[in-house]
Amino acid sequence: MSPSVSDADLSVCDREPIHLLGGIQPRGVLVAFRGDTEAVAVVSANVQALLGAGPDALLGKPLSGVLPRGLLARVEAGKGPGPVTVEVSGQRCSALLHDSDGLRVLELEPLADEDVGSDETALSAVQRLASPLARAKGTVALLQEAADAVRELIGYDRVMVYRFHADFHGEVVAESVREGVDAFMGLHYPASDIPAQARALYTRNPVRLIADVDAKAVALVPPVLPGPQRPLDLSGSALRGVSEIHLEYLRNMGVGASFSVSLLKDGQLWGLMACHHLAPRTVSAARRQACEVLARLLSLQLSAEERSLESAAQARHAALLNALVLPNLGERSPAKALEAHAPLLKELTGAHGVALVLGASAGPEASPLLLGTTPSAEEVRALVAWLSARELPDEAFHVDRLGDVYPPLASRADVAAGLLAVRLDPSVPHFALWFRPEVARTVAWAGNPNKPVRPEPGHARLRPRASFDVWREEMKGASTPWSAQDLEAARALKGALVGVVLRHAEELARLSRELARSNAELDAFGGTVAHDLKEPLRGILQYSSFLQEDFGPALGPDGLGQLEALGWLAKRTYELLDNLFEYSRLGRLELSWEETDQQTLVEDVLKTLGARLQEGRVEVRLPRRLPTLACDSIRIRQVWANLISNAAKYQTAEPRWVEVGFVGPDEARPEAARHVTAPYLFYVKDPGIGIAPQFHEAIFELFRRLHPAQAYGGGTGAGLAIARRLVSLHGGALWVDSALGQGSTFFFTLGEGPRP
Amino acid sequence: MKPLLLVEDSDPDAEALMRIAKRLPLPVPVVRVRDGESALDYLYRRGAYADVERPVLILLDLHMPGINGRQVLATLKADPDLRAIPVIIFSSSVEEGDVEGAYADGANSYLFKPEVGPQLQATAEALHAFWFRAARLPEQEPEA
Repeated sequence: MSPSVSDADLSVCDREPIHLLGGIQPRGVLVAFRGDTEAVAVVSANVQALLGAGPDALLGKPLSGVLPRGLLARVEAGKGPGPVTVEVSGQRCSALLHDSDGLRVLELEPLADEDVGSDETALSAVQRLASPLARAKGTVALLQEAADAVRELIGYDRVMVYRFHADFHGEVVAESVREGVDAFMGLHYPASDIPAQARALYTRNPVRLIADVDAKAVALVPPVLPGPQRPLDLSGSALRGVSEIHLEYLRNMGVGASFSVSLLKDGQLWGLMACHHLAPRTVSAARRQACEVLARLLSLQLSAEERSLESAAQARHAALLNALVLPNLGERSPAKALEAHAPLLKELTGAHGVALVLGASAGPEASPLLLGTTPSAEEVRALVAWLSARELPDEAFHVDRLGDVYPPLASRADVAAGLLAVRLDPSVPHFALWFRPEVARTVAWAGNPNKPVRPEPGHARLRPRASFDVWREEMKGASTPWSAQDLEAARALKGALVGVVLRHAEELARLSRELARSNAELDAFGGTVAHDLKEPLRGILQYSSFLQEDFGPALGPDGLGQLEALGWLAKRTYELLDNLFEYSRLGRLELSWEETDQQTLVEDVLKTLGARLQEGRVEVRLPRRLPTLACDSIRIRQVWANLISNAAKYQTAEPRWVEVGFVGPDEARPEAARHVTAPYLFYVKDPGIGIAPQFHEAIFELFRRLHPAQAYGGGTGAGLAIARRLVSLHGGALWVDSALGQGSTFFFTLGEGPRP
Repeated sequence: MKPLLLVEDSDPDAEALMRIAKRLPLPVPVVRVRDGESALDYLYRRGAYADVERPVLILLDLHMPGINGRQVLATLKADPDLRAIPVIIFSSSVEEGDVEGAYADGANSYLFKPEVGPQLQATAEALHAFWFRAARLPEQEPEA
């Protein structure tokens, strides 16, 4: 009776010691003996049929008494190359010999009539298999040829070439099927279909035949070795019994016989040639060996193909990196240059989306550069903040279940199940991020939806479709894993980017050095202009005052008037020069920040302006005490002075007043200040003549005046330009809200303090 | 009599000062030279200035063509024979660097050249009040 398989058994599948099942398939017999004495130590329970005596009669006897004379010597001679055809009790058999648990293990498989009739050797079978391979071009064609050749040789209904991915889930990449048999080409299988210890056996023992899935296993006698107290290790055995779970799985797939050959690449399990026959069908040892040799040839060819693919990919990566570090980057930011190569960037690691957070795009407020399918800018910013707080070994991070370690993106597996991130700069949060969607959405999962499930009460869960559903559930939220090559490519990009960003920074430094030099030259020029032009102007003023003193009475009222006008013009030019000079110096002003009571500052300004305010009959209103805020008090005093004196100046109607106030954090902001995020907003308001909207910006231009020079106390038109520049040096903003005849309100904010 | 030496390249500035000086009860004559070179010739009694008397006070403009005020000042203050003579810098420059540099080189005070008119008059009066009334100058005959 075949043991039933419960759900619990399924979960232990991964731990089942399949090499110690203690039984063999019934298609042959096993005799294990001591190498020194030839005393038989273990036999399979079915020896009687072939050797004419039961286990009890054979155990302890020397092998030479059991088998024909000379047979062992022939098998030993053929041990290396493979199976030897021998005759036992009148039956032609394939004989295989190997060592296990200190015993010599002889396996005898009676040959089927068709194999007996053919005098084909393994070598000629290999010749038959290998010749089509020479025609194939490329991995896919190669595998297809191999599948066709193997199916022809072993006469199975279906031969699949099955390739393992990095997570050991498999994909059918080539297939040869008899007409009318289900095709599995392109489908993916869960890694759990071939558990780890089975993969280990596939690596060690590359050929595996289950000639009849319904055949009952034959027990070994004795079932347990006296020394190790466990069954004989059948790892190297061709007849090794099969896990009932695996048989169940095959039966559920409607398979009657299964044959597989491992494909190894550099000693690692790369894939399998998995062959199914719907009815039981054996494959002779010679043909098995031919397939094994073919698989080895195939493996060599695959290694070569993969290497050439890898070097092609590397060449593409190199081309990309080259494109990124081209020397003409000067005018473009690195981000712009990268954007132009979006498809290459994605391809670099086989991602569906890339986010770049670098240079000007860094910082909590800035937007990352998003290419392809990625989370939103906001999600990327949050992710980068989380990544920056983590210790990243080698400044790289990769995960194929991002949602598990970073729950905020758990619901975004559709775009970001997999994340590969490299940090470009250890000091600032600059990152390149690659995203992959969850794999369950991107691959076709195996199982034939058209195939009716065999009615087997109690075993429903084992049908392939159910098993794949379980797998699909498992793969939810997981991307395909990142390979070593992906990581290497990401690191290479990092290297290139760091170079690019550094070069860009160097470029900026060079520009700023040039700018500093031209600034210095401008300063010198400004200083010279201010000094050299002021000198003669003072001369004009002085001579006109000498004239007035010495010859005033003789000039008469007209002459004196003209002389006064001359003096006024000279004086005005003198002031303009002063303002120009001051404005030109603002660019290199170093602010000295300190906590400043704005109330004191304004009161101080009002004292200085006192006479002028009184003269103009201007009332100053201070609805509430101004707060204390960090600023350069000398400069901001200048701003207050300018705004308050302007407000007092441009009024014609009574009563004249100026209101000085502020809007604090969380207080309702006037419409003209809705966009402001600064916690404090200062204002100076007047009911004066107002400014038409088209001039709201113009008034801040240097020497731009809206009124005749002598009207409204005759400003030079530099005051607001200087005030705005001073505020912007603080990191704040200065603007006006006004309408003609409706008065004006000037607003300004201050920055958050000196930059570290 | 030992004079006050005015080193000033600007004619209107010099003339304005001379006019104001005339109205003040200045106990010493004012001698004007136009540039740094002449100033040093005067102090070292070279060429045309071989017979002059050393000044009791120097009013020195900073920005002049050729040898500028800073160079005159530095030369003067480096000379043990001359360094006792007080030097008042009289300049239109408000540059912090000019002010600090002048004091570092040994200037005795720094006056900012004001605009013409009452302010210049006031500056000149202050200068007179301090240096000729309040202060005692070296090698100066006591006022009668």
